[in-house]
Amino acid sequence: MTLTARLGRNLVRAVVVLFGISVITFVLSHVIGDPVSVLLPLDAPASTRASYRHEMGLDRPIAAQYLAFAEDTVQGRFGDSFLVKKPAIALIAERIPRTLLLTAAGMVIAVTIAFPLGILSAYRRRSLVDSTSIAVAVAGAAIPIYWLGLMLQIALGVHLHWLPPSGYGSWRHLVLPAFTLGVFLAPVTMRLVRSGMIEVLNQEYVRTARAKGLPEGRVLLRHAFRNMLIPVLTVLGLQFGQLMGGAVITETVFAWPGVASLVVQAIQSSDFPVTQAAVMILAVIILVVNLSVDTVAGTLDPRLRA
Amino acid sequence: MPLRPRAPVGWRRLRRLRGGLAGGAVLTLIVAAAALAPWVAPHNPYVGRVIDRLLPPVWMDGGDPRYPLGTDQIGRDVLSRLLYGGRVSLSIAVLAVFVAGTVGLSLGLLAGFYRGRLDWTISAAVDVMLTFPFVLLALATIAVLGPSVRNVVIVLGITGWPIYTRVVRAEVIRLRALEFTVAARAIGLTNARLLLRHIVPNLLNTVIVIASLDIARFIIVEAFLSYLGLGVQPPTPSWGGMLGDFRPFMFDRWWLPTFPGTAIFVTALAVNLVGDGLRDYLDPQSRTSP
Repeated sequence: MTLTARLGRNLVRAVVVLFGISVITFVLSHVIGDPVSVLLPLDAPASTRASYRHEMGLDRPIAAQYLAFAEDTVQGRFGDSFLVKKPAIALIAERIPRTLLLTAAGMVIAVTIAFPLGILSAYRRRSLVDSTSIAVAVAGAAIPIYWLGLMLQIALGVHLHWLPPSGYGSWRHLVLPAFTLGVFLAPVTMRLVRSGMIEVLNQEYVRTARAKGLPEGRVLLRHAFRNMLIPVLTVLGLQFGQLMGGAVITETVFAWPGVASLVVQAIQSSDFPVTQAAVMILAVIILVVNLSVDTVAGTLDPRLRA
Repeated sequence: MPLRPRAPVGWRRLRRLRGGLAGGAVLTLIVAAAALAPWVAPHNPYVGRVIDRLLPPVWMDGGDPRYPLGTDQIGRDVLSRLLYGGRVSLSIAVLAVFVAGTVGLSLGLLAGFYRGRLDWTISAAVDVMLTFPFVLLALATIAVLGPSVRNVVIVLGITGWPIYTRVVRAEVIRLRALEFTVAARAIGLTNARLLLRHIVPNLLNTVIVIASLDIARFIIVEAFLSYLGLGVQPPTPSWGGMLGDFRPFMFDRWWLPTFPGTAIFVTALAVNLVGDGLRDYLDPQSRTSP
């Protein structure tokens, strides 16, 4: 499959997925949820409710409402937040860099932990290093990250006063949430790297490289590592949605003022415009990452072109 | 592919399964403690004595032997609430896995067996669901439906099915091309019989492995929802709800948030170990790399 064909197929998929997500968002907020009940006090008379519904267009047929919603969404008009008199999109735009910063820092930490351990485990299979890292990965995958975050806050923030337990400001505020997110991502990454590396080390070109008498370091890094990288990065890229899920939890625990904690607040207070905008924008970001990873990997690795 | 796993023979095999066996032992204890909560819990989990509020666990200064793990802010016994909370958390996770597994298996069978437009639609739906962060979808849905035990089960169920569908669909497509399915068709079996008697039994191992790992994931997500106040509602005890309630005490009473968190962690770990063990045991292909 050529680059253009792959790109074309991925774009079609992206449009389908975005359509699906817009339908889910719409159904949740307009069909099951009721914005009027959020905006008006509980004892508002029925006539006020009716006129409000009319004004907001909520008395029109569902299909017409969806089309209006879709039109606004495509143009990036999500309306004003119910809580703060600001456009929802502005609230989100302000917070996106912080979420990206946290996510990137978490990824760096995960990669720093997982790559060396995964490679070493694969290279020394069934050794002490291997079984220990597997045990740590199994335990790491079972730790609820909100609880890990809380424990880190108690130990390093409250008792030892090394780092601020929560909030946003200096780089010191970034350390605990980034580490928490890193621990969330590291087990999966380590397992991927390990199994990718084991597979590559069994390939004939690695045996050939050894037979040529190349030093082990060179065999590992130049022949094995590079070939393992693309499939592993592809799977990791596809896990980006999970990482955003982890960011939602981490931001909530550490009061990190990113998009994710904004969505949680918006959801809890039924702030529909902000919820819709955030959900759609996060979906677009996740899709862009997934599809570009898939497209790039498919182009770089001839084996994936089939 | 053998339908039945060989019986485990020898120490090597047992060594391979020791993680699963240890997990199984711990899990059995936890399930038994939760199931027997009305008989083993020292106190009523709903009633507290205000005079006995915020007592530390028994091994710390000021601990009271009547309350082994201390008491909460309105004097309820923490151990009893943990035991009862386990009933709630475990039942929600198991029920939700049942919902997700049933829906996912059925849709995967339909998509993989009939292909065509139905397959396209189901696969598109799977794509949509898997693109979206699971936690966010669960949060948004629960916020609209309203928090309750029933709704948590529904939400985990409807956000959890796509993984089963994706895996089952791929398996069905593979199995359909194999000789035994072709032979079954040739002797004139109906589609329903072919699916239920010949295809589903071949899928069960895979589904059971995913389901066991999902139980751990659902326990963790349910606890997060309850932690945010969007899951199990007070006064019903739940591990996540206790974690949320005890969060403000992290500054001076660290043990309070530690107990429910440890319960979630240990349970999820035990379930994962059992799941990994099951995968090793049931799926001969994965035995080469753990």
